[in-house]
Amino acid sequence: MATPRMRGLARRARSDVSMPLIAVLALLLVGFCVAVPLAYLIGHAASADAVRAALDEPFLGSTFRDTIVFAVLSCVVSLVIGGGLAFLVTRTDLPFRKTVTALLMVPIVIPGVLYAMSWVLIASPRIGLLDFYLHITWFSSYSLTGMSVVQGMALAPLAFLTLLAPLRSLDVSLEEAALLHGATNWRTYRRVTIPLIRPATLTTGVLLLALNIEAFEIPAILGVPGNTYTFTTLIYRVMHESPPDFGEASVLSLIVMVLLVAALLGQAYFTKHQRSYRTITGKAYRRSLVPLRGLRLPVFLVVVVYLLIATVLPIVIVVYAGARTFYAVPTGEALSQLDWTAYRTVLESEDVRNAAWNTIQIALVVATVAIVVAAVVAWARYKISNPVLRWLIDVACNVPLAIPGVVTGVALLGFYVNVSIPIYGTIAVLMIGYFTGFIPLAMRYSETAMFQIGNELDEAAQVGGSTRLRAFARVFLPLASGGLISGWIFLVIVAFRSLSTAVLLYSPGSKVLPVLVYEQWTNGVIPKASAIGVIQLGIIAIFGLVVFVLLRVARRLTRPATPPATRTGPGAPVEELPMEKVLV
Amino acid sequence: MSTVNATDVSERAATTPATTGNRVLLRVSGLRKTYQGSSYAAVDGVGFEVREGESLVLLGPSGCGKTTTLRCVAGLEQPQEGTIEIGGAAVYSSEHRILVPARQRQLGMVFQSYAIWPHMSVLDNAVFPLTAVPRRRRLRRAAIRQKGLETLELVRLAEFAKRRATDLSGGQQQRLALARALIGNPRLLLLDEPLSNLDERLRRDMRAELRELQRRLGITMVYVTHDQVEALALGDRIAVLREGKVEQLADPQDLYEEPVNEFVARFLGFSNILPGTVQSRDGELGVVSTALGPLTCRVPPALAAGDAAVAGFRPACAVVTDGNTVEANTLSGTLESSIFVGESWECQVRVGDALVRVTSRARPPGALGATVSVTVPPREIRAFAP
Repeated sequence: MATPRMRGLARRARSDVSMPLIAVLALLLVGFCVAVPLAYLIGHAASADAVRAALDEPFLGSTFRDTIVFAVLSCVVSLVIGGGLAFLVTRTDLPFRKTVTALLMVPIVIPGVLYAMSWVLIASPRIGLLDFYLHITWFSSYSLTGMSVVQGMALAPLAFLTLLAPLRSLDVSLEEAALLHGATNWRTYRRVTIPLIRPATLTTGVLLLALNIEAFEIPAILGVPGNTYTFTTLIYRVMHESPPDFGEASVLSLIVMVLLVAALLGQAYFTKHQRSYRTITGKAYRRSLVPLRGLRLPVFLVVVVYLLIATVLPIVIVVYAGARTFYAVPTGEALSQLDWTAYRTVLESEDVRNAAWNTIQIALVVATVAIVVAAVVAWARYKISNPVLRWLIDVACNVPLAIPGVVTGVALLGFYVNVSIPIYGTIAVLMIGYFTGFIPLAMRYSETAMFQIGNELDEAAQVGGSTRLRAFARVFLPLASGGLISGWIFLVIVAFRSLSTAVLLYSPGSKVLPVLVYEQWTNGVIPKASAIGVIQLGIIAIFGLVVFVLLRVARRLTRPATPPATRTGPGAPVEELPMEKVLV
Repeated sequence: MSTVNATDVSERAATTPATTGNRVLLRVSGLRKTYQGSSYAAVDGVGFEVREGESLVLLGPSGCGKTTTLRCVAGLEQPQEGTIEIGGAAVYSSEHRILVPARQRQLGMVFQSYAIWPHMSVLDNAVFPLTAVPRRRRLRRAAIRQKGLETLELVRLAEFAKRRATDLSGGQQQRLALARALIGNPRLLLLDEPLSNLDERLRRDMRAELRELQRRLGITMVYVTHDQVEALALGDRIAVLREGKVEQLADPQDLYEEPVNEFVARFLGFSNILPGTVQSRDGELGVVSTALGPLTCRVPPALAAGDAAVAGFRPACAVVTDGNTVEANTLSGTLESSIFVGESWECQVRVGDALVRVTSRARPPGALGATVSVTVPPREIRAFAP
């Protein structure tokens, strides 16, 4: 009687290897993408010539100093601006808090190259608006302070976002308890609110440090002209000498990676420390907002002025620059000579079209592949019980965080020029570079999604007789889809903006838009660089809008079946802002 | 809803402290609070008094305004109308435009979530109110520490003083919250559903402990809960709230035995409610005619013959017998379910259109679907204003 059924079960047990097999393939892909640059860099740095070349580098000492100053200063600027604004919109009765929140996100989608360029037009000596109109000469975008402030403003939205969540989800009764037991407002902030936010601030700060060390666009455009190098721009410089010195570049790469690893380990430490601050939550009360009273209007004006300076003005100035045949400071006369057909000319030119098409292909393919692979890897990481294997996966997925895009470029360039895989000079090699850089980001999104689902739902599917692949496809993917889609959108946008990976890997046939902008800029063609940059920004905006509308429609169609985010226990759910809301 | 077992009540009645004669410590009158963007009042004309050393419980379902009332007293919420006086002085008055901030009201409060600060040690949490007073009135560091340890001793946490607050269990955090609320010798202790995050056993223990502490230290307290057992066990008087209004304010025994209306009755375990009219009355007893026939029951003086009324009784007050009983107040129906829950059987009997719940000490006679009789002694059934 039982024999046929048992045979069926046996067959099923045998054939249920498809999902593990897929997982192994995904893990191998990730491992390969991470191992290649590492192995290459270490191999090339391990020679006396390479080390000597690096030590003889005339800019090494100043680069060390400038990188650290740049990273720390920008980090402080981001934290002060982002943290201050996060406090204002979550805790005070600042007018138009929602609009301010939305507008603050805009710089996230502005490509770094474009942002840096706009600040040259705003705050460089002579042609900058500040010098021309206000005779402000103490602030120059070409100085170390100047480029740090610009970088700080560029990343302020990130600091704002990461501090928004802890400020919002902070249990109100923790503060009320202090107020009720005799503490003044100020004392409550000092003793309760600020200490509770401190771990999140430290984590964010260290992450910002790492991002600033990795930054390429702003140091390249604002620092290099004044011989202010950070490690990324120095590596780029070494690679652009002829002949490029792979050995020296590798040594420099390893140095910057050591810095990054230190920063990231610090961040991991603080993140771990932060966990213990979760508390039992009770009824959610609407937070009583701190009245700004007489300061309400002045503070609001300061915020508006900041938004104008950090977001509106940079966009306006590059849009203006794109419509000039040659650049001139915007005076009445210059404004009367604008030629908007310049944009059409740029749009119709062959190289821009090719670059746009390349960029779109790379962004869509890489974002999709990265998210799918990350979902599979996250699944595998969840299922694997061997702690050593889990640790290996974690390390492999996080190593790219410590590899700046330029460094990936160095390694892949060296590797694929020398192996017989014929992808050098195609967009495929760019895709590999982008993919490597995207693994950690994609993993963050997948793991968050996975963490929220919980193991039982997946197990229930298996107990219900479904194969692992089927359980993955029918249970995990649909439930995680919200988080995965957010991640995908974010990756597409990052791919669209980023210059640093592509700047060493492109070849004449495989240029992407940011490369084209950078190339035009370094050739001194400000209007064309601006116009292409604006077009690039336009494509991102259209993409964001389309996705936003599609998600709206999709959500309306599937409203009854909103994925039940399974959360166990009374622990405070960490509030996460869906990326699609943040970006549009 | 769980029923109150009889010992709780008698024990309470025996030990009610003599609070009468003490001066009024808290007086709330005409309190109104409407949340911004909401059309109805969360608190709608609430008024009560609490005497020194007395414990008042605000009881009601969620959304009845009990917590909002408490938060108004605490100063965490600003009402629109009414007066709140503590110790004879107004801390809020819409008429005189007085609003004393929470930190100056000298209160202690235990929050539902405990609101234990995770970044501080147990001791630091407990002594916070002492460190928050202005410098010139602040105790010396050593004295603060001493007082902190004494207070922690009171809640049996002294040995944990140096631990991180998050290392404590739920029950311990709860006691720490209590220690913090008591350490500054508050004029009034406010508790907002403090036991609702604990499991059943711990809740029982904490309930007894809290009551003992309140009596021993003579603490004046206002306690918010939706649990009738907690309310009966902890209150010298209980105010039942509904939709922002006080429905009844009485001591626990009166409340338990003489609910003024159907809402309060249901909330206190009269889960069998049969609508009808008062047919006749004779002294304390009377007859209410219901869809299931006339029922003899206690009728409060407020109800006269011809008034609409409901007759209600608790599941534990009825007896299920086989279908042949002919007594007064006997309803005949079919046994629909019978579940053994240890101390008793929980039965549901279908009588006409109504489903009657009976908690029977003995196994109900007959199988499911059998015809049975449900008998309720006239003294155990009461008429209420609907």
